[in-house]
Amino acid sequence: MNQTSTNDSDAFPVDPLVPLLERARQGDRDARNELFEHCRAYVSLIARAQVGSWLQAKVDHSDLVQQSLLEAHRALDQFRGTTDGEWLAWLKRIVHHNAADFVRRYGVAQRRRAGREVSLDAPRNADSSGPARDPSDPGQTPSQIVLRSEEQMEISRAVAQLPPDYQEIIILRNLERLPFDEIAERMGRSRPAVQMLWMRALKKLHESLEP
Amino acid sequence: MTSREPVSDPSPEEVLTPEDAELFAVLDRYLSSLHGGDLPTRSVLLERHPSLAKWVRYLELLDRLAPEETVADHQSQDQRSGADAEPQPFGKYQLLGEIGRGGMGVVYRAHQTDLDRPVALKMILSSRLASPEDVRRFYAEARAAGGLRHPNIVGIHEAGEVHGQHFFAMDFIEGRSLAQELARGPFEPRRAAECLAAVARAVQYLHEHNMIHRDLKPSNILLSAEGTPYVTDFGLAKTYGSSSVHTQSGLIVGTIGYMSPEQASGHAPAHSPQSDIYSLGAILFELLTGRPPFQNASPIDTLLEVIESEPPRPRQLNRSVPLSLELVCLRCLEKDPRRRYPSAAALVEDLEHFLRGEPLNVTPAGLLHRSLRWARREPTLAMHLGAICISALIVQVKYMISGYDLPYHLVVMILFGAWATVALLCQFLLRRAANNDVANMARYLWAAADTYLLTVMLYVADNPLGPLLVGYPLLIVASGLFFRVRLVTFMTVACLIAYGTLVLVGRDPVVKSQYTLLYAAALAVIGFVCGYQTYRVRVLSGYFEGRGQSNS
Repeated sequence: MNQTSTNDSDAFPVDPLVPLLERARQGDRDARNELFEHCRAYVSLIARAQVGSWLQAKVDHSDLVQQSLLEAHRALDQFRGTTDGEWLAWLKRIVHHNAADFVRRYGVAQRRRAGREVSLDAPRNADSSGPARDPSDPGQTPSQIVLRSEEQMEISRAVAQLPPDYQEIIILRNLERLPFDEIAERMGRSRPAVQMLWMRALKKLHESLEP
Repeated sequence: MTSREPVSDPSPEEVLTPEDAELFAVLDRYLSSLHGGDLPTRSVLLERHPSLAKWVRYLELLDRLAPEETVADHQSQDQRSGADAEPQPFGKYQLLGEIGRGGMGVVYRAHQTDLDRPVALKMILSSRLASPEDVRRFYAEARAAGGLRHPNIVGIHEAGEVHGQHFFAMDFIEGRSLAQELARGPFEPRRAAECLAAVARAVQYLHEHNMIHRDLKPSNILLSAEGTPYVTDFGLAKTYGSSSVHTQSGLIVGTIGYMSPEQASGHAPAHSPQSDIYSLGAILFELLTGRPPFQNASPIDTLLEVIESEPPRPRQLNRSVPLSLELVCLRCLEKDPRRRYPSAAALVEDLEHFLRGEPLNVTPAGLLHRSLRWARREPTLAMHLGAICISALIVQVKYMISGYDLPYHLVVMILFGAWATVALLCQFLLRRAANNDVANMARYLWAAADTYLLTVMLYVADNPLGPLLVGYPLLIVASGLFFRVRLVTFMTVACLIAYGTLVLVGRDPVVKSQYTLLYAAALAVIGFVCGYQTYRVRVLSGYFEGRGQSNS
């Protein structure tokens, strides 16, 4: 049974992951493996952004990925959501909890980072409201909205394919939202150099997404 | 082809092409507004640059992947949230927000409704009070601690249980911990002495009431807004807190620097007040220099240093530290508890002497004790000089008895002298090393110099060399004391090469060639055994660091 989100339009094949999710929840092991394989790049990328580079020195983020996937695997029965968006948000929450555990376990002193003061009112609501709906962006059709979760995974995979330098700059600038000055300091390069790197990384991303 | 295509050239010195620069400017501005929560610019942007739709989309998608808040943000928010969080009722208290976490449990800021006063509530983790015996002990200790009142300790009002959650209520101190204060840098000497004297008075009071703190460290000392220090986490730490040092390997790093050697080695039958005196000394050390007496990248190195090596002199780290305070500090940090101050009160007395500009009770250590301390502080150099002195002495005695061939004797003695000088130089380099790489280089240099000098010595020496060849295995084994597999490998290879050279150019008639090969093989095996032991110690160290943990 293909139960898509009822509040959106039923006319679109909106949530490509949902059938897989259903089968996985009913105990289909292949479906389970396929589902997690499909989401691995996504989990990996958010894990890297989640722990931040200050923690990466201590923790290999792949431990965090492993731990989070394992936990998601175990707790799959408890997932009640019905859309791709909710599924991704759920994964993200698991990564967040695990990252908090890691930090506690490794006794990492918290370090405030300049430039992290992002307005909390910014509409970043994917977590709480299931499928992403931007209140400030009313022009979207339902198909555009729901495409997002698949797109999110696609772009995660594309980032994972980039050379390490490019991955790093995208994580620092786009996912950790650091200003270029700080990125330059961390990467030990000049500000123009990191800006250039960022531009190159985006172009490369563009190439791999739009062959 | 001479004209280069800038876009395809990956060299980072390149400047952006004009088109790219424009694209960059637009995207960067959009990203900034995205981060600022300013989405409406999007339609404006797309109207002006419809071709950028794809790019804008990437930025939005990537931003969607960003964490809502990173873990670091989350934690500090917890701590700040005190004032605005919804109060939660807990017995006769209202919980206002989390203020900290420790090995025992979580501490909350709370309001006691019946007495209308602010308190701090420490919730004990249920795992810490697993058996009825644990619970009984917890209340016994809380009762004992509850009777204590001192201007420099955090008073405990009550211990109790609400819905199965054990807790105790204590004074709420508005301020920061000493650890947070120290993060800004060391204290000015007078202020350090005043602060430590207050803490030591509190510790003396605890000792008078048969309580040993056992976990004194900057994070267990709170500073009120006026700067008055308050000791917290005492008594109760005795039964519950200290075990955390050993069971939760992840925490070992944080605490070990303030632990007395007898605590760190773990075989002290009972923790005496003397252990607290040591911890007071460690805190004074950090107040004066901004760092704990022993700190190392890996916990096992720190542990070993706490147990067997001597802290650097505070004046070496901070020139403005007065000599008398340094004496007080080192006296507290003595390895042998009997050499420390006999009581916290005696420490307070000396700190007050210092503050009033009077002579101290503590006298500088005797010559023998000072040289022992020096040897523990610079073990490598001490061992070198010791070995060189003993060898030179033997040679000298032999010369005085036989009394012939002065030129030969002079050459040998000069070589010994050169060796000692090289050792001093290498130690100087090692201590001045600005970072780990330089320090490592100094160690390799030292190893190479040792091998070289030994070989020259053996070359000069009268034949047959016989037992003198024991020098090579000695060097290899000694290099293992640094606990670095690479250094052992380096030393082994160096010794093999040196020995080979000696055999080839030396004047020692090679009697049996198979003996030479057997000797070389034995050197290699010694190197391997030594390296393997070092490796095993490293594995243990890794375990202590908690990296090998597989549980969550």
